[in-house]
Amino acid sequence: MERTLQAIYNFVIDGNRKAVSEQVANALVDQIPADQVLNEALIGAMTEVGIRFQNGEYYVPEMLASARAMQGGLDILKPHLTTESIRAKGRIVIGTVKGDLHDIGKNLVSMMLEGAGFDVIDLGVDVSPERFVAAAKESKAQLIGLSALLTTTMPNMKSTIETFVEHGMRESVRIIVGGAPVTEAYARDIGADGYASDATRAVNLSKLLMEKEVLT
Amino acid sequence: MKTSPKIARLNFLSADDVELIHESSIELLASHGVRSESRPIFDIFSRAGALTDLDTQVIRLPREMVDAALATAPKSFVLYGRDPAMDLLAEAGRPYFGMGGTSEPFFWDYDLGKTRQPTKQDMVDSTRIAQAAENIDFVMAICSAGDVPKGEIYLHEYDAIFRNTTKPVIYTAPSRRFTTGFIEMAIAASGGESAFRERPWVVLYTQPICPMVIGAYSEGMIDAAEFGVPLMAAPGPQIGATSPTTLAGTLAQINAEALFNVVLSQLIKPGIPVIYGPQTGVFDMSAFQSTYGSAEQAVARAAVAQLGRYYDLPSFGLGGGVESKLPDAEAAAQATMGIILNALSGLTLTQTLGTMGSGLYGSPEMVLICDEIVRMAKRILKGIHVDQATLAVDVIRDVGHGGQYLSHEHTLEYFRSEMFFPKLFKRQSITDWECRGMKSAMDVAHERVEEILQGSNTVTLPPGANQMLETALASAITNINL
Repeated sequence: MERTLQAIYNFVIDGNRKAVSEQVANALVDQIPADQVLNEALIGAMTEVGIRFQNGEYYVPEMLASARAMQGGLDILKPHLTTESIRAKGRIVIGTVKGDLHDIGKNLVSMMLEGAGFDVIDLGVDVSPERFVAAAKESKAQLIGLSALLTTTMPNMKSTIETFVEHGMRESVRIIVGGAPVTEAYARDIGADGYASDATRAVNLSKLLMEKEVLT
Repeated sequence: MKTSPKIARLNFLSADDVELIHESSIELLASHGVRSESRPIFDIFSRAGALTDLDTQVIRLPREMVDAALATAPKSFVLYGRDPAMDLLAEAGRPYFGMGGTSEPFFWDYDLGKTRQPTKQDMVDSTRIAQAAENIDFVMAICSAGDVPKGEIYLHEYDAIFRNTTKPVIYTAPSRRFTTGFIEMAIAASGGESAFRERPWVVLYTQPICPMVIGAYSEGMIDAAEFGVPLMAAPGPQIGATSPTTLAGTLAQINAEALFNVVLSQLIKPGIPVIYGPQTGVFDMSAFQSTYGSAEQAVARAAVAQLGRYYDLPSFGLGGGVESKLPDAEAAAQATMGIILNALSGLTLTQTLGTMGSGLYGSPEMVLICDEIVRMAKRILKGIHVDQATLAVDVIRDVGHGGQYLSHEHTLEYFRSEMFFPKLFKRQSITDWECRGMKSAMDVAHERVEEILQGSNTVTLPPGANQMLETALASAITNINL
């Protein structure tokens, strides 16, 4: 890898936001294509971070530090990226379902998805089914991420999916679910397209769904 | 060199209690004495001015002889490993942990799900596990070389242990002949006598016979001390049968017995390192069994650690070993109790990690479960560090009402040192755990055992030592069979 790209890659892994921003600026001065900086250095590094997390070498705070560092680089890079590059990984609308105010897990998933290059539209907490549908329609997102921590709010995942069906939107999105009480089996029962038990798995699942489905 | 923190947080005895126990032991040594079944040991005490009675073979020690021995016994010494990185700074109050005991007659086989006759290969394998386990600081045995001729078992055990670890070794040699074999083989594994004398990396485990008898078993001290080998003073009563059923009475007796061996060590060679290791095993009144891992002996052992700190001598005792027959919930409960209490009371050397069946066998899986328990104990010992930075008042303000700390710089800086991360025990979601086969800790430990044994983590001997050790083993076998 080119030296500046390697430096960016290493600084993302170290979680050094300031250094990543500086090096990304240097890369642009050196006329390294922005898409290459994004894919090889930033996203490449976050993939490595995800692997280290799954191997138990990295823990949540370190993963978040890397995600923040990556975000710092991305902010500088964004105006220079091609439209295809921004759209390449996919766009996801994410939020905790109606009645649920617990957002730490959802925030982690958002950060990791951004780190992996996804365009994330985070609707926050206590999001009604209608708001999910409206945001999906407006943004043309391919993925919807629903989060719930409580057994009492889990049924709102189901009603959100049903609302997509009612609006004739179910076929144009893939819906993924997660949260402490959610299981693979529950995800299947309510007709979701996937379930992930943690943030790095949510990223892998999202990538998989984007590869499997030719969605635009 | 490894240096564990000198933080003893637990005292079951008051200062007055300690004095009372000490004075009772001194009184017992001076008036009641210890009977010697060994003429060489009897003669050593006679020559040194103890009150010895040839008819009864009883040796009585004036207080001054005990004081003199406590003055020359080193307060601090290095327990060498064959590899200097494995050296331990041995001092009262610094806790370390070791696998197994002295030659355990059976072996718990994970695949069989029960015990069986052990082999020399089991000795090799379990030593490799001890070498690989991060929190095992010194090595003894969780089985024996059961497939060699009976008279040669110890010698083959030395061979298996010496070839497969670079950590300090504590082991037994139940006569002068065996002690000679033990030392000659250790010298061979060091690649020569001068290398061994410079860094004698074995400890000779000896013990008087409870109550208040010393036998030929301890004569090897004379030969080992000559090479600078540290000596263990480890009387091993069965409380209620060979020591008083009251813990205070047991402490008075075993302290006297251990002090007697401390005096013997210093008469043999003033300044020779000696470890204060009175044991506190219990005779079970319901089953005619010696038992490990019970609550009262854990308390008594904490008191031994406290006495060790009083004399400022490194201490030693059981604690990892359990009476449970399987590496199961009972085993983990007993090992956790023993290891945590020993750590908190500052016992220097906790032995029998991985030992089950009250000393009759061990299992490599249990060694690794104990390794994980030590990992927890080390975090407990670290306690709570309070200063402006760790109080984090500014951070609490910074995060604000209803914020989160996960992405705060302060978390990143401190979480690894403040929080405990298990290695063997798996933290995962229930779904993940189910997907990965719903394994128990023991199953995970077994996978790790397989991984270690299939790995290439073998230790090497110094140049020429392989051949020297082969020769030393053969010659020791010849001498034993003479």
